[in-house]
Amino acid sequence: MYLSQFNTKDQLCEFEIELNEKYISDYYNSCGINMHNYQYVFPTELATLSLKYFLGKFPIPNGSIHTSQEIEIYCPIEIGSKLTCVAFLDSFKEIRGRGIVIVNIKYTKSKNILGNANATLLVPSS
Amino acid sequence: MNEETKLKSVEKVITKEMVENYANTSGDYNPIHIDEDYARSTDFKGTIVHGMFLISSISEMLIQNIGANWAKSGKLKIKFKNPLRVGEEIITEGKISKIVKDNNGTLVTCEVMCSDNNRKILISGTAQWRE
Repeated sequence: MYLSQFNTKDQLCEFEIELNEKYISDYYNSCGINMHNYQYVFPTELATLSLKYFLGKFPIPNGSIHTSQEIEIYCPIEIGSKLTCVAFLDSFKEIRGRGIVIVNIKYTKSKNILGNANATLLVPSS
Repeated sequence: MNEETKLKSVEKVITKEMVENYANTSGDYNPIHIDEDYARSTDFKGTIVHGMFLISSISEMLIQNIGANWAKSGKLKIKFKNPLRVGEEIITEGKISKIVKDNNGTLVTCEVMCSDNNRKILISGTAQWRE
């Protein structure tokens, strides 16, 4: 089953993301949101890009369902920032042959934690 | 802004082209979102919009109503309740539920909700920010 080779609280991976102007522009265009002049990254832009990188490393099986999402920014993140993302298996439960997986991602820059996200996924048995 | 204040809502139709563009931006090419033939064979009976695309409409509403404070200290906690079929309308609404002053300033809590044009709830949750 998805991520079953890991134990709860294990670090899954670490990766870098760059929240550059092109990504922000692509995000706004694809979501049909009018561009604005704020110099900061908004929470959903951050979560979307980090999930892109995470799911590139750990693709979820077809039939998986994203059931909930949390994202928090502790202090402003400027557009153009490069962040280090560290992903952990926050919890894993198996219920009736399906897995409920919570992936936690911490966003850091120069060892300071700037934000935190939790994605809950319902995954089928493999 | 006071408790019970309703935010200006966001209403829009999410088209197939937008979903395809979002797949390129997010890297999420799950066929349930972009392959009509595959999606018809599933319980959804058609393509559905990415969940993370739906929550972008919450951010859009908060950018319009709150602005930079949403970026500087935003927290969003939501549950996905139902999918939205591609080509359908999403309506995103918010209502301030709590304003608390503390040593770090003012913490605002807002109940947020997305629904389709039949008022079926797609997403519900809370957003918080500091002022």
